[in-house]
Amino acid sequence: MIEIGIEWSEARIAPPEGALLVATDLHKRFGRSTALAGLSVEVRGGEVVAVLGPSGSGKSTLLLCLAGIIPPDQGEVVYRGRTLASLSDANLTKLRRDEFGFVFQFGQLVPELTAVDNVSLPLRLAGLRRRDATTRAREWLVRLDVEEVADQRAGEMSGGQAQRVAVARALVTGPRVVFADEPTGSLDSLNGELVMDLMVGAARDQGTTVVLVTHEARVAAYADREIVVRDGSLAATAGS
Amino acid sequence: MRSIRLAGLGVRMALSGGRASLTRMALMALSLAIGVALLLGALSVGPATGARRARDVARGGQVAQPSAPIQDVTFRWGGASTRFEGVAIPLFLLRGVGNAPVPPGIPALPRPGEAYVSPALAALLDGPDGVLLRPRIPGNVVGTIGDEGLLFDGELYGYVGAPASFPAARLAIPEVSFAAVEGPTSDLTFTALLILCVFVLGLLLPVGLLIVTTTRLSAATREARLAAVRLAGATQSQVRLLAAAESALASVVASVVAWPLFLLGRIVVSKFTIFGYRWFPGDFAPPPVGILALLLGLPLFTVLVTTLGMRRLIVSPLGVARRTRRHRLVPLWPALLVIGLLGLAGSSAFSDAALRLPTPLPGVLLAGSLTLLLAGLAGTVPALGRFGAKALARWGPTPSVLLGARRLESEPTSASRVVAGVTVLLALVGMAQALALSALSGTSSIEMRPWASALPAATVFVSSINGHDRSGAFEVLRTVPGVRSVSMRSRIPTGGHGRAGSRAEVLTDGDPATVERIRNELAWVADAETLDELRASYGGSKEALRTSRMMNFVTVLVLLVTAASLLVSTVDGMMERRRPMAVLSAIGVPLSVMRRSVFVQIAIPLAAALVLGVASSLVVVALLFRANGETVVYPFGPLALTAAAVSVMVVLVTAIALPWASVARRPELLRNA
Repeated sequence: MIEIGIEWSEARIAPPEGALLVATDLHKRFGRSTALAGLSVEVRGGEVVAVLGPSGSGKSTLLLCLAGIIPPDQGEVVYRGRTLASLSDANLTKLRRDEFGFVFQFGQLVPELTAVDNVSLPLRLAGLRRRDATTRAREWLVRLDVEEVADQRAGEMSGGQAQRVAVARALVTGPRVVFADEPTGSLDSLNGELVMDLMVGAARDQGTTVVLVTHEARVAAYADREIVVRDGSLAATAGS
Repeated sequence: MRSIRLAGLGVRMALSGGRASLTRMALMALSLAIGVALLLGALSVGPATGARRARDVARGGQVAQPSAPIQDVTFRWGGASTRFEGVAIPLFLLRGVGNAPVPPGIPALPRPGEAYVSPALAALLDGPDGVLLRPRIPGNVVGTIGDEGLLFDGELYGYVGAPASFPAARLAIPEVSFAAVEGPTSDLTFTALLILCVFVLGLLLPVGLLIVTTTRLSAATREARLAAVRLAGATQSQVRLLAAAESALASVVASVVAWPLFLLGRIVVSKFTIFGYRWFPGDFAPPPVGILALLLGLPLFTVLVTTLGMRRLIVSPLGVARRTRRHRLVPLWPALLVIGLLGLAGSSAFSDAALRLPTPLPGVLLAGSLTLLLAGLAGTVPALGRFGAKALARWGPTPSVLLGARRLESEPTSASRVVAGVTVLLALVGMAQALALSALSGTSSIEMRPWASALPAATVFVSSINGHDRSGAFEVLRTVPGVRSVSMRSRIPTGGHGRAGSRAEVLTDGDPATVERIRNELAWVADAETLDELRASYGGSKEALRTSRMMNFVTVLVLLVTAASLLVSTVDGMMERRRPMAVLSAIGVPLSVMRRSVFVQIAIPLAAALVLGVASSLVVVALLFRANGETVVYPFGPLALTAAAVSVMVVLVTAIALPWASVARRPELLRNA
């Protein structure tokens, strides 16, 4: 399983690809509030896309729908020709594990696991042996300059360190897409820049697509393209 | 005044938190009420044994001085006492002289041909089995004995007016009074006291677990609410007061609900014979000081527990943080274990006579040692579980083991605490079963003796004492329906009595009615001579069966309450971890891995609990038996059965709780992650 992932990772160094992820006419409501109201968007392979918009505009919901974490009420998300809604829960889980990576605002590391356990977890779930998974995880921790917290738990790290560990976890499997929801939202500007540099740099190195939700212009500046969402609809696009 | 207003606000918050909050409050109050009811029961043990003992002493009477003239006395003779289906029935022939004292519970001495019997004996005589017993009661039942003349509800007891033809020389020493006298306050033996302590602790344990579980329900939601209150301007101590008000309210409700539970409980307990001891429901009357201490102490206790529980909680306006600490095997718990064991070994050196002294010291030492031992066990298991989890996490063979073990290592879950309680349950069951076996063998149950297994099951032994030859009377038994043969023996192994006299081995058809007919035959044909050995082999097994059933009932009850606690804490634990579980789901951790990790979190402390529970039980049993100079009876069978039942219960309950894992990992929570 993981060997396939490595092959993909090597093959992905040759972007650009065509449309990797296509969302069409997405609608989503939570109770009486509308999060998405007929939003359509396309994400190409290897690009870094920033989703911008005010609070409550539907950015996070769009990201979760694109990642197959929550299903839209209406419309569809197609990833590499496969409609996510048609996949079983097990296949969606496998897809998220093998081809997607996630970074959230507060890192969202598993609190009781050490940094190296957190990073190696997706590899082990993919079937890699413990020793190999740990070695690979440590390499990523070194790459993201957090090797000193390898054996510490989330509660023992600073916010910036936890976020870099989360980035390592997101990238360690060599995913095709990384979904990042306000990855610098809980960090100061210095740490925020460091995390963005490392995440986008590593993603570009291995040709990983990044879908980035943010409301900060300086974070959006790392993107190749910007999508502005307002009231659940696409308000504007900018970039190549 | 400000604090009272704030406490009032805490109460309003607890009551206005919707259905979940009210359910939590109700569960908390109910579990506390059960605990209070049990404590009321424990407080009643002393008064109950005292009341029983006082009635026993009063009806035992006071004998006249040998030199005193025979006037105003009651002659009493107990040779008519018998057994029916294994149960002893004391029957006394009475004859009064002058202004004769009357035993308690009857209006006057029965005249010749009259009998006063206990209500239970009257019911037995009137029932379908009465025909097998009637020939042994030489008189018409003219009334029943009142409660003041009986030891317990359902006692089989009777007074019969001595026939005029009954030789005066056979009547015993005359009684001059049946008034209560100062005497020992308890007639409990050491074994009985130990069993009682084990029972009370055994029942208090699951209730304690239930209380801990319910007070921790929805902890995260409650903590978030407290953080919101902090944001609104409350200080840390005000927040503590708000939380304590909720617990205090639950304890007040519990104090009211506990009384009907206690009153119902004492009726139920009065229906059981616990190793030969039974009581009237009214005997269980806790002393007023104890009631007052309990009623005042409960709210204080719950407030203290809540406040202490929050000592590592930092409630800030932005949220709740917990001061973490490195978990080590705190030496306190193993130390308590050792102290408890030593105390138990020491207290078992007390003789039964010492227990009758008017001092509570032996009882206190015994109960204290047991409590320390059980507390040590309950505390040592989670610590051992954490060590096991740490080792397993380092090895981490699979992601589910890694997730489960790391979770357990970082913080013992409520469920693991409940599982730790299983250790105590196992230890208690082992002790209780071993004591039961010991007590039963001590009451001369023939089949407990090694040689008994070689005899046919339907063999009955009869004998006479004092060197009288009653072989003629025994020969008559051949005519009793159901008797197959009568073999005269010069001596039979009866466990060390070895007194001379006629002894016979009677082979019957195995019908219990045959044994009763033998008793009927011997009751009066033997010229009123006492027969000291008349035991049916099935008599012991019936008693053993009853005892075993009662123990099984208590074990099942404790298991059910433990299962309920485990279910609630497992589900609550998952629901409280919705966000981490949603993240795990988002990054591709399959549901099956999450479910297995929940199992691992239960399995590790369970393994520690089984090992420590069984081991400690065997050590305690060996200690107690050796201290009393008895052959050790290891309760391997009951222990293995309980361990298996506990394991099955834990697996089943965890399996039942697992569907909540898919609810808990729902990804909606990630929207604002």
